[in-house]
Amino acid sequence: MEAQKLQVKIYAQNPPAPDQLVPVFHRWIRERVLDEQAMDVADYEHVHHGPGVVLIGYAFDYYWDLGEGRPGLVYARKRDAPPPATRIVDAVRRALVGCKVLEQEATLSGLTFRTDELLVRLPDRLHAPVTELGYSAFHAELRPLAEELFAGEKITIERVGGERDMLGARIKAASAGSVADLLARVS
Amino acid sequence: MTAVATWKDQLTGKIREDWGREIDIFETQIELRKKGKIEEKLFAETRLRRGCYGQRYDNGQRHDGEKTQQLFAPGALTKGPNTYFDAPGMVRIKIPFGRMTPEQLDVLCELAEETSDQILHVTTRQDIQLHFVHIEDTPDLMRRLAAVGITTREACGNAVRNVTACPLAGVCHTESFDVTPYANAIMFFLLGHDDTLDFGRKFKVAFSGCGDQPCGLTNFHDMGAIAKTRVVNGEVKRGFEYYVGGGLGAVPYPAALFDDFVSEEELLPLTQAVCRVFGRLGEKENRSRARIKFLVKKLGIDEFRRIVLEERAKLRPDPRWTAFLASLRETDGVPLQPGAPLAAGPRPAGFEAWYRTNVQKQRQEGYAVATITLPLGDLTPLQGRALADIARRYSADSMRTTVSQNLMFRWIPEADLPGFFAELAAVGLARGGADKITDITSCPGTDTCKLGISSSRGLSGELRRRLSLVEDKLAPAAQDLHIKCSGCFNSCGQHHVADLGFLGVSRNVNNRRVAHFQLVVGGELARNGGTYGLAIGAIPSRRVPDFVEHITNTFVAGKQAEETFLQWVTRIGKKEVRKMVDQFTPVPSYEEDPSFYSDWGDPREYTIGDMGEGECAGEVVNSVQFGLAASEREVFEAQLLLEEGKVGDAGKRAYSAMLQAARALARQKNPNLSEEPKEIEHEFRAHFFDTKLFFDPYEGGKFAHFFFKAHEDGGKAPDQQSAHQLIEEAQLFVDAAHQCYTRISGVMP
Repeated sequence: MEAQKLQVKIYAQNPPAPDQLVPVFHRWIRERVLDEQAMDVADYEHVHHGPGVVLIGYAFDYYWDLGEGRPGLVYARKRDAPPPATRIVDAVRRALVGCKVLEQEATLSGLTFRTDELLVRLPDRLHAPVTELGYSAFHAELRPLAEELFAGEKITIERVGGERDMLGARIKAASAGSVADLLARVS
Repeated sequence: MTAVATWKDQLTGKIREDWGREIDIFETQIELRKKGKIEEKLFAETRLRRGCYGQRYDNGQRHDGEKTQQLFAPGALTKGPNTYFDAPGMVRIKIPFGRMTPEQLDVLCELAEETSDQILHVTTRQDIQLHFVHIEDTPDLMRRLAAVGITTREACGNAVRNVTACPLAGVCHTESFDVTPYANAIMFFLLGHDDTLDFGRKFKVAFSGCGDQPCGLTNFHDMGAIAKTRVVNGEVKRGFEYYVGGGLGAVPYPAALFDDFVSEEELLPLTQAVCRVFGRLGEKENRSRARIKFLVKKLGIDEFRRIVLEERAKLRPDPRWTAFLASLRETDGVPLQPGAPLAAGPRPAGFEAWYRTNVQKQRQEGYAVATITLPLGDLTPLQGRALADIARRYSADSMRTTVSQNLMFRWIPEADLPGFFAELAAVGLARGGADKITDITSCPGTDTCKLGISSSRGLSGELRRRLSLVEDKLAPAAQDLHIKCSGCFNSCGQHHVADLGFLGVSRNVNNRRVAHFQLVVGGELARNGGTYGLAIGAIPSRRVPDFVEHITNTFVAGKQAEETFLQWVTRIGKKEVRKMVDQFTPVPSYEEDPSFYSDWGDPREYTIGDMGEGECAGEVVNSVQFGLAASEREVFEAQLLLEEGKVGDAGKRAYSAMLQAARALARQKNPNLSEEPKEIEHEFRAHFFDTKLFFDPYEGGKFAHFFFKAHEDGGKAPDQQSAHQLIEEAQLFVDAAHQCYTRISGVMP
């Protein structure tokens, strides 16, 4: 895949109040919880359906995203993308890792993630043009990943967003295992 | 997936040739910097002039609440002194006089999604800022903006910054005429002009259509122009009241009247002459004295005027000076639909309240202006795209950003307002309260600014949250209050002209740092920011919301008839306000309430260590705190004396406050130090100035110079303005003494 930048969102169940994520993300920086360089935390809770609370990294961001009115965790690859063949799966894996760590946070008790739905977007209009052709190529790359991730489950992939939004697709599965199950399939 | 190779290819033919060439050059400079072939200072100024600014932590140091972490490998590539190349930065995008087309907003939204953190931020000077942008993403970002007529050139650096103007220009009831074409002309005339390249500091220009309202804020700009007409030989001539040398910053200066009527033909050449004189005579070495306000002050307005007019006479004639006058109507708003009154009938829930605060009738019959209230100046790309569509449907090309960090839509037929409102509500932008107590202005503060001391956005967010819960129940007089917050003394949040202004400071309490905000009252937003307030006292950040509630209630209960907040403060006196402040100054011990030792929105233990390296020496001496407290008291007493009209005494007291603070520090080195001013000055200079112990990490010895100047003059203040300024300087010196004390006593920086 040519797109250098991509985002994967996994939706939350029993989401905590957004401000609860602020100390969590600060702790991730302090304790170097991630294997990538995290730098700062930005708080946009005040913005309607916005990016929520953001863990800013050098090459990535994690968003406690409030978009669509559906809280969830977004992993966003900004720079230093892996080789094209593994780019999407790497982002999915990192999104799942983030979910796993959040599910284990003592201060966020009750938080889980629904694993039967993923939103994948490409904020890179140069390499991922928002056209039928662009979507077609994107879909072709997503399909095998979705099949591997959901291991035999019935899946659907639908385009999301209009012609001015970034190119995006929603993957849904009839059912899915836990975050750990999915993680095992892409690790 | 097929795609074109580069944005440069894709945008061929869509970018002005000169702009395209400038961006190509900048891209090359980035590559050269990566190869070490451009010196870092030169590259820093280069990127600043392209609008690429530094952000907090770009020196690679970040305090995580327990220790300072190194974010980048020491020795890694830099993009300026002590600024790592790979550190995310801010890009400031000039929006001249705030006017944006839907097409431009669409591109800004794309860039926020692709290069930033999904947020567009409207600044107090009508710019748009994107944060956390990598320097290598900026050339394409600039190309995409250039393709829709936007430049980032000279958005930062020692240059002419964005030209601002009243967002109601052209539709306002009180304006003399529409200043839009003049702001547009001067913006592009000065962009990259030879006579603007030698500035020692930035130069800000603002236009206003009238003298009474706050919209243009010309009083605190380097150059301000207020529209005015004059009848000459029976003909109405357009011109401007022309001001120079205004500015906020650490010590605010009101602009000086240069000429009460500069004709429209003379506007550009006169400004060119001002720029040339500023470039030639303005301070270059001492950054903190380099704004034009210091030059005007030093020369006096009469001498400055004489030199400028002499320079004006020498200018080579330029056809651009008047060419724009042939097409003044080109910038006029063009309505999509005929004007029509608001009809009776069912309206969406919440419409009436929104209408009361966010809608103004235009001068043109049947049309309205609507303000979109943006919380803390932020909006998402999805909201931005929705607004672009709304603009296309209701008001064509007439969106404007405002200095209150909001957006304005003009030329909406009043009859369309319910539909307009419903569309805003669908994207969460139908909130009312424009220019009311919950519509708080804030600079970025410690969120992203390298100079931030306290979290102005954190405080503003908390105030907004709490006040929103009760705003419907507030008395109208309270609802009308303006709150403005700055994260430090540099005043980007414009706290000097608020009813309740707050600027971030820190204090050492129980041997720990505690975020505070200085309360500033006495400011006036009207008359283009006509009066500047003064600091009354520092309140712990965590107590500011309670204080705001208290003073608001006290004002409502105690005000007389139609008395405004400013009038009320003037009547009761600052001493009474200080008493209120004093109720909120105690800070519990860390063990009792650790929340006081972190700032709003940031759970880390509070520190200002992220601003720069602290200098640790010596040991904690309680007598220093005592002396500093005394000096703070004297600053306040100076204010009271000024309020009583005792100008000379006020100046002397302000100077005495500085002496107290200097002595408190100097006694650490010389316990036998007397109270003789000359000796204090000598010892302070020897031990704290010459050694740079007193130096602020970013402002250097600036605040010490305030003391030296006051000492030289013996605290003389010949007039009200001088006394006011001396008090400001004394406050800053005392604050700096606090910072110095904290550094040398080894408290966590």
